[in-house]
Amino acid sequence: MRTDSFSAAEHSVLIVDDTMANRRLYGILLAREGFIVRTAQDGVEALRSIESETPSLVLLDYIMPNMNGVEVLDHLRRDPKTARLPVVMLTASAEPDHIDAALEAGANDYITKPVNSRILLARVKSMIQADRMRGRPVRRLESELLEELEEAARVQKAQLPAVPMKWNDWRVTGAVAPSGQVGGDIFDLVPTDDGRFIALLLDVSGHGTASALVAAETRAELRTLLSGRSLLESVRRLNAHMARRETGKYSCLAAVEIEGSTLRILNAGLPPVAVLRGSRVLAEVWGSGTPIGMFEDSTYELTEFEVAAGDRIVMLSDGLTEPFGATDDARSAISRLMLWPSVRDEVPEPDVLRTRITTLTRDSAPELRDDATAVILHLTGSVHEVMRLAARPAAIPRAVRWVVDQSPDWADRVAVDHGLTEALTNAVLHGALGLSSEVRHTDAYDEYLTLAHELPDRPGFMDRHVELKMVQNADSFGIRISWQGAACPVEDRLPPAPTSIRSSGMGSSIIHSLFDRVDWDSDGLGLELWLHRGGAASSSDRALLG
Amino acid sequence: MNRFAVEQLGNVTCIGLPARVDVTNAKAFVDVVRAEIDKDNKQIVLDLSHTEAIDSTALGAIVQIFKSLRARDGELSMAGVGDGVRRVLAITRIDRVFPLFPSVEEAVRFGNEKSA
Repeated sequence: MRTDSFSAAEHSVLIVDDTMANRRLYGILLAREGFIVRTAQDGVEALRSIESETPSLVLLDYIMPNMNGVEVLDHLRRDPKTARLPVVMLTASAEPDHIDAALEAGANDYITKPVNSRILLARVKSMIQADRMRGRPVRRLESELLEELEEAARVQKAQLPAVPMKWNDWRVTGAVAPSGQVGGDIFDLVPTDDGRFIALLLDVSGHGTASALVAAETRAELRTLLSGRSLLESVRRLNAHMARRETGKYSCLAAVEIEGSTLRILNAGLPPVAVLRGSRVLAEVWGSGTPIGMFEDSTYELTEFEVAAGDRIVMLSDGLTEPFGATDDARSAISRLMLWPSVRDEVPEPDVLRTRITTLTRDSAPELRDDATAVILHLTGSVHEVMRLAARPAAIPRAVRWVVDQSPDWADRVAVDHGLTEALTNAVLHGALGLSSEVRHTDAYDEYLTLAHELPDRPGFMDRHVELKMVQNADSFGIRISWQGAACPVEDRLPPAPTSIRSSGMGSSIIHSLFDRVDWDSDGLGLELWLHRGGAASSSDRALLG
Repeated sequence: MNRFAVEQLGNVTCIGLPARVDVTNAKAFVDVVRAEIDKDNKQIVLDLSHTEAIDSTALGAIVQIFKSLRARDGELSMAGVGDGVRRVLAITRIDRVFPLFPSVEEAVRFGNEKSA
């Protein structure tokens, strides 16, 4: 066993005595031994001194005016910061009651006056050493425990599947943000030998290591069961096994099984699994059975869908829904996490997704803080068309016509025409003038348009293009506008922002009123416009907008 | 202050739950209800009139109690379940496992009739 050397120079002793001679005497003795010495002449000064800097030990005189030693000690023991601070009381040998009172008040030791210098030094030193030894095992245990938890967190993270994963035309991603070092949330992606693909999200009740262990075990067992068995049969068996084990834990489970164009969803206890098509929630699946392991005799059911290109399925744990409203409100979390389908036909990178989850859940009330997980399955291959137009106002009408001509029969072509003209004008001018995204919130909208049309065909600008991408699936129509290969053009080659422009948002309002969903890129230039069959804004509403 | 108020109403034991039942008080909740089950009280009503939210640990605790009671031929029911808790019970399908009553009075009447 290692023994640590004792260095008096690392420790300070506060001497509290109303007699100056005593303070000097004890001070000299302790300083000679190498201790850092501080003094206080009464209880009030002592408490102030301790408040500003906690010493290693307090040498406290019993009898003092105003506030005696026991009263000082009582203050110290009531304060959690000093409740365990070593205190040696100095008492008169003729007053045995003082010794009892001192020990009863919480003194660690006492020394009777007149003070023997060897006894004083030995008591002070042994008391400080005892305090160090008392603290060490706890600190060591804490540090070992933290190391183990960090290791467990690494192992748990390593158990997650590599994402984004491609499976046929599907792009799948997911991310977990545990509320502590380790958590009870886990997801898995299982391609089977018989041509199915199963995505799982497990949320074991409670948090911490015990939940993490059950999550890992449940996942491993379900993986084994899924080999050669249907999702439904695997879940039935898993439930029976877990219920018999009686761990006191249960798992909420959402599972999506893909076989060809058929999708089967089971959700036992998690927030609704959402099937998204364009801007709408095509379906939400929840309550397919009780959580796994809760009741041995539970029954489960699957909900089946036929999927189309561009469809997206989102699974969430309740750590992502509860802080934003209701446990069963998946839509709010989907919007906040920006998980709606995109014309880009891509899923977010796992790091991006994890950052969004962490950012969203970071400010939750402590009682709502929970492990948070999202898994996204996106079926790519939706029909899309791309065109590039010169970044000049004159190019806008032709581009708008191109989109209008190809928009689906059910789409309101007047809305597409007006809305897209506004959006393209915004993108072209905004980028061309090198103004910040605030430009689209202007109350000098006419001035803005005038500026736009006077925009010179300046060198270095002619070669810039705006990309227009259209996507159509079963009942959604999306248009993406973005600057080709660049964010905003370099500002130092562009005219300064007109000072008369103030904010109001007229152009932005028009765009938002004409489409069912509008998603702006962070650069304020790119955006996506969505219409869906039977959308919220009717043609008559749009006619009112002129 | 006892956060889980226990009241005996005929043969029915009514236990009032606080605003939030979660990992911090789920064990205390189980202890309170277990003590009643140990007294051979078999008709237990959980009054959730003041409960806004329950977490997964609390849900596990309720299921544990349900199973203990069922093993003794007892019955657990819930009363005054608000929207927040009802959603949790629905997505976990537990609302189909034991009876839910709009008010404590109805739950108590039901329990007393069953035990009569």
